[in-house]
Amino acid sequence: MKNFLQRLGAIALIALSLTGYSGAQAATVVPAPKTLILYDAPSGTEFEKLGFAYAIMLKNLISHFNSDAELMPVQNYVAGKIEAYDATFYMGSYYDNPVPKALMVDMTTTTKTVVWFKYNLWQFAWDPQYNFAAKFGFNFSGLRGLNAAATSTAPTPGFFDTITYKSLPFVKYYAYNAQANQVNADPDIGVTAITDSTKAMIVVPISNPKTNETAPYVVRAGNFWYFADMPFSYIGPRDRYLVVADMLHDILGSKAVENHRAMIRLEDVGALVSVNAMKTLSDYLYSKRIPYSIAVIPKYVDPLGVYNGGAAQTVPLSQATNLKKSLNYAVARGAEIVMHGYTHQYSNLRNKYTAVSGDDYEFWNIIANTPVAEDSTQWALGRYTAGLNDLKQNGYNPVAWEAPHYHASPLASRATTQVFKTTYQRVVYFTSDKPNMLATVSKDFGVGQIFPYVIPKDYYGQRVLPESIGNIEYDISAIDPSSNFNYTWQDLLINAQYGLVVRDGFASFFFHPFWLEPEINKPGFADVKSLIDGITKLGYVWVAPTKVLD
Amino acid sequence: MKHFQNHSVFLTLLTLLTATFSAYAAVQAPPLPVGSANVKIVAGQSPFEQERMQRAHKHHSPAHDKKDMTRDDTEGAGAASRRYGSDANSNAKSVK
Repeated sequence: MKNFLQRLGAIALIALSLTGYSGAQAATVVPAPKTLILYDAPSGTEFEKLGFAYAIMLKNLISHFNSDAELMPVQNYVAGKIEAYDATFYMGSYYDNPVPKALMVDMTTTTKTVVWFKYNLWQFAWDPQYNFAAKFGFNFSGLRGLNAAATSTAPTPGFFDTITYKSLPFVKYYAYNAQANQVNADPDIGVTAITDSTKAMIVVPISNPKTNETAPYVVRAGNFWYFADMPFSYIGPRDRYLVVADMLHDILGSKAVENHRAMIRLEDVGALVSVNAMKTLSDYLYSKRIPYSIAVIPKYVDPLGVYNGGAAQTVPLSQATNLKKSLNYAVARGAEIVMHGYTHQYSNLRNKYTAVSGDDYEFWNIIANTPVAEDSTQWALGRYTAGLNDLKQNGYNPVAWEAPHYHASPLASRATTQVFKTTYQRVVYFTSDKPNMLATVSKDFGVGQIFPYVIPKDYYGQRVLPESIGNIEYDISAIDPSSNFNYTWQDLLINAQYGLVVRDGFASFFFHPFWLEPEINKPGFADVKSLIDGITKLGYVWVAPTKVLD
Repeated sequence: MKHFQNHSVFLTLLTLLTATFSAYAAVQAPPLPVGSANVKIVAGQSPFEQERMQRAHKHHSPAHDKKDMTRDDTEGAGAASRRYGSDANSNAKSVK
């Protein structure tokens, strides 16, 4: 692990020096591009809305470039429309979904930027009327996926899974469920080859480690770009999703320069908080002049008495002595307050753990995977307003919102914009405001999205500050069976190194103060200090949420 | 046979004409790769990240049981002996 980190660190430093990193603010002042996203919407199928989910994710990223992308099912395309946009994206997510001829005819003549993802390029490249290879300088030969069918005896047949970008390997997610004989992955790529290097070039390669083959991952032919897969599936902090997030700068012609910022947020700070743990962390961060924020749960509720011997318990902020003492101490040392739910639990339902504040979902029924029964704009606003009032009446002014477990209904997410100027989180997006995730035809999708940079206006209208590299976790299953996983500070540091490939990428993480509590018996404080030190050495500049410019 | 050939030619011409004037291309798709029928695609965050999001906020410390949240936990008996931070961990089991 140490050697790997050193190697990654060296690569990162070389990359920074080659790109002229100066630590200055990004110079992104360019005219906002007008963008169109076309997606597959195969009527009457289970996956009619899958393409829409991908389109929402791309729209969110494009928002970073101050563009409010228009979304449209590809079958609705009309001749000439491409000329009204600076860039048009076609997301080929559904195998052999018909692509309108009018679109392909326009793609052969336009000088505007065109980006094609994954499937259906054959309809363009193999139809002689478009003279594809002669015009674009590359051809399309077919699809590749798994090298062989996965079986319980050969569960990892391999595929083109490793994208190399800025000298880092981005390995696509893969898991095999032997019981269900199911591969959880997105292994298919469109295989292309350059036929005229004066017209086309491989921008990013992809390799198949099991067969030692390589193929183009991103091809560029002038204004035409082809991505061999759909980089919005199975995303994570080291996924090829970061490649497209960075390449959008090139595709949309941004003038951004290298600018890497870091943020730390102390998480799930409610009435149960330990004052000593918070003081220890606040003193350390203040001594290092590291700005930080605190995700505060205003009201503590334990309706089933799970942590109180069976007796229901409610502690309003006004009575939460430890919480107020912790916050007062931290705010005096520069901490900013983020409102993290109102109660961070829902009703008296175990949703999904205990119904206790800090444990459960508040704005989504995770058991049924539906919005909660009361879900509405007014209901959500009522909780936001109650939490804000509690905080303000006790002297705290939250600068942002963060949904519990990063998971809220569409109506609850949209409602945040009425009371919060900024959110600070990952976000789950749904393909309708009343999602039906269980329908056999045209079911809805909920997709979680991580952001490597600021999103000025997401699909729900929210401004989103990124949390991009996760949080330290320890396996304490002996005392809490659901806390059964180690995610180390070194894991987060590697994520931060991957964050550097996005030219204005953040290293933003959160940390639970309870990891300092003696009963847990874990090296939380030492580890968070190591992580902060490591991120600083990578060249990131620490910022407070209110100091982040888009 | 001749009738069949004529019929075949007719159908071919019809197909070409349909393709020419159809709004969509008439190109045979490449075959899906082997094993595709058993592939499940998840849009957005990977299951690994989804599970971390679910788990991320759920860590119950024994110190939380019946804790009096209205009383300053830095005051009173035992508070001074509870040490926080990495250098406290070697003593952790003995301080409760």
